[in-house]
Amino acid sequence: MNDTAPETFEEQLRRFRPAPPPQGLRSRLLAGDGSVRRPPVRWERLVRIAAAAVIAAALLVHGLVERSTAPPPPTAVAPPRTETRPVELRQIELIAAWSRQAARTQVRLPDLAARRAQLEALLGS
Amino acid sequence: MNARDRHSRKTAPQATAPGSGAPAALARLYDEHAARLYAYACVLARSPDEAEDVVQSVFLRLAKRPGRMVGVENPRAYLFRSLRNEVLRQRSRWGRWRRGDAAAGTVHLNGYVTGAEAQFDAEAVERAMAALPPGQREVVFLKVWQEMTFAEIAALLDIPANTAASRYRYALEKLRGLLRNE
Repeated sequence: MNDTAPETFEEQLRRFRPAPPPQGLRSRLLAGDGSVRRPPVRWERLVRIAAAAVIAAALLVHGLVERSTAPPPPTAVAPPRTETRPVELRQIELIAAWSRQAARTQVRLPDLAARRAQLEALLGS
Repeated sequence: MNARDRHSRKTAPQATAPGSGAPAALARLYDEHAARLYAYACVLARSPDEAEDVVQSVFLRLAKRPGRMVGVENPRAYLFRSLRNEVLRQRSRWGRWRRGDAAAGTVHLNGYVTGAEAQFDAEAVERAMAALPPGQREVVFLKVWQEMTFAEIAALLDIPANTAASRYRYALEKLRGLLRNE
């Protein structure tokens, strides 16, 4: 590992010294006997906590109001139709419906008439 | 002991280890390391006020559980790790309401100390440092002003040493460019 990066620039930077801690920090942190003092509660923190509490309360109230004024959910929901016929029959019916529609709209496909006849014969109609 | 403390803590107690619980030991620890810790806190925290708070919190935790320092081989590494954890803890606590946390913090310099004529002033260096990405800024601070090796930086930041070295290289290039344009 190369720990010696560009020295001249690094040395230029190193000639600056980081600022020391404020004079009051030691006395605020340590009592005369060297024991640690508790940090004072900053107003900034209190304001932040109060703001968070107000926002939370507002959101809660908003949620409750929304809930109380919302329309009731629909009660009567039709049950899903249960299909008892076999799948093949339904497919045939569907194809027949398509072919009838194609006939109505005068779509001319070469084998449409033959297929329709087959399907109708199959369905017995 | 977790894996993070491995670099700074040994199981055998050291004769010189502070943390016996005596207030005098804590005061001595403060006098030895507070300046470096505060400088590091300025790099990590959003403001000098917050940096003071973080330093105070680190010492408060030590005062509550003085046994933590028993057996610590490298008090500086341990304190730097504690300080970094404290900043991350506070940031995760309040981060949701704050924007620009990651971009916050820079080194606060006292001015040009010794040597030849300065090519740039302290404020320009502070501004250039503030313009770096946080990861690079931290590595530059630890390497230049704390004179840590890449291995020590890697252990502190939980990154590979090669990553620390490459961050440092990129950061120095950026710093050069920024200071040239000042």
